[in-house]
Amino acid sequence: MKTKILLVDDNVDILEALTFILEDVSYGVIPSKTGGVVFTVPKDQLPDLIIIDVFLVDENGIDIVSQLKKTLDRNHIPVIVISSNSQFKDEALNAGADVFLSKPFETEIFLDTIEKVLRKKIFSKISS
Amino acid sequence: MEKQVYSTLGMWRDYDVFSLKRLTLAFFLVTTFSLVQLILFFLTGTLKIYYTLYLVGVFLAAWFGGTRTAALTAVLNIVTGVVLFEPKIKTIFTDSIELFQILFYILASSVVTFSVTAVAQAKRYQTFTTNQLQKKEQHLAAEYNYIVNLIEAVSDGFVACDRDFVITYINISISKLLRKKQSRIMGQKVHDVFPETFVKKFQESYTKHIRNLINVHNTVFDWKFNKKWFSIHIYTRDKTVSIYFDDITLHKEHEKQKDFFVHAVSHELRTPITSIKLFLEIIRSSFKESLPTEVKTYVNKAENQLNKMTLLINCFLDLSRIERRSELVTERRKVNIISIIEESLEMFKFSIKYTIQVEPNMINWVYVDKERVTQVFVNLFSNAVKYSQNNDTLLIQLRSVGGMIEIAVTDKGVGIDRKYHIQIFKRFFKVEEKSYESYPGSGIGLYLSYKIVRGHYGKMWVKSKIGEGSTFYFTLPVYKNTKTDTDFIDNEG
Repeated sequence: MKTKILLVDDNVDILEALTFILEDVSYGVIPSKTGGVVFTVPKDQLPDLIIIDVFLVDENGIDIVSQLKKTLDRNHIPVIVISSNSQFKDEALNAGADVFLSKPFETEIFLDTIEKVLRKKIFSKISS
Repeated sequence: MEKQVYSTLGMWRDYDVFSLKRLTLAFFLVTTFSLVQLILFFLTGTLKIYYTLYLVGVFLAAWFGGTRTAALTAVLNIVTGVVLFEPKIKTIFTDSIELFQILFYILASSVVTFSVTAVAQAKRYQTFTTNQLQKKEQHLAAEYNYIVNLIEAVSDGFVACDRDFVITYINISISKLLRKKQSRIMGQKVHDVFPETFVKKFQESYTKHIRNLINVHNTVFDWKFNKKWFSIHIYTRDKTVSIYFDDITLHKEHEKQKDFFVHAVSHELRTPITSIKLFLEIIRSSFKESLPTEVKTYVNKAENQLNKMTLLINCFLDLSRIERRSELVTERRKVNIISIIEESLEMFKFSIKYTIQVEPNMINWVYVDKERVTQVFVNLFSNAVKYSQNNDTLLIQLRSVGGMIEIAVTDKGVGIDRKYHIQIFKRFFKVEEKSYESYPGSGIGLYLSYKIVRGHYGKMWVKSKIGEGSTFYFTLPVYKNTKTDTDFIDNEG
């Protein structure tokens, strides 16, 4: 089964480019411009990873992450927060994100980080 | 007329006693009195009346004229008596009662003279000193008001207290801010008058930087109260602690606006850069096989430019943070300095050869912001590479000096003329000489490095000669195994 990644960014170009890059390495991508989808995805179709930008239209990515971590049926999903402002690093990590990446990033690093985060989740799943 | 006058008992000096008016009056009185004495004697013929009057005369002379006048009066009287009663003298000396009476009178007059003079002079002295005191008091009051006006005018807020934190002075603006009367506040302790937010920071600063020191300047922290921001400066001098409140509300407002602007701009600039980068990556990786070589090269060049832009944006962001040292140097941790150096050298591995020399037995642990210190090394190394020839060696030396580690980075590049040794660390400074034209740069690197080092309470300087290369020195704090990391006095302010 393909690994599903939920990608949330209000910038259409970035959303498109990242989707392309991820699909190119065989990830399944659910792109979204808004964060609400994080909560509306049905339980049996939950993504394996969420990548979310901080600045969304009328929403704050970090708030969504905090909220997510309080939602029982999906708080186990690993989260990568991305933003062009590195000042949000601590806030994001404190809210429960696994990694914070600042834009712009090297594609290689982006993909590496995703791999690492997914692997960690698998190992923790196995060990629990 | 103020003169040194010896009083009867040698006790009071320095007072205004010699008054020509008074002396003339005394002389006049004594003379008149003596005449009266003589007249009465000739009329009554008795010595008793003479000598009673004699006592009164001496009294008056003592009161008005002092000891010397009284003594003079006494002598005059005795002489007159002797002259007048010459025939009677012989009988007086055979008649012991009369003799005793005369001796009694003479003794009594001495006592009277001394005591009366003493009392008179005491009174005069008292009046004099009271006048002096009143004058001094008025003078002091005027001086006090003058200084108070100065203090009230000079600072947005001023509080003075002693080493036990008992407030000895508080100016109007602060008492208004706290909504308490000045008179009620003075005499109370700082901890009982100011809110918790202030007391906590004040206590911290005091304990860290002042404590047992006698004269300390300018320990600073920021304090927010009632929507106003103050920059607090603490000075001590002997037993007094002075606290100045600088209203920086407007400044903070501007800072906030600037912050917002800077972050908005960087976000707006970085977002399109991100998408361009991603698209270039897609072009490169998706069409790897079918792309002609030139196109691949162009894609790479475009990406390099994007990376340059990113670096520049980061630099400018750093610049905007520089005003606040606390922002530039954030998470300090125990780090191994050698590992920072080796990591920083990674990207220069193929550009230059290097040697690292460490003083034997030196402790490698420093208490620093790893990311920022890496930035400093990368800056120095890239400068060294930029200004050196291909086969040159970079020398990195470390040694411990005081509680710091001193790092020296030496290159054999073009060198820097002595006159620029201070300026190169200034913002945007670039050497404007022909020989340097081929070395592009933003002029920010060394400035940032300098600020980062200062942010760690270290120092940075350069030794260099044209044609002989340069050595950049800087110091960083050693990691101390104590709870609070610094025992430094922040004199920079």
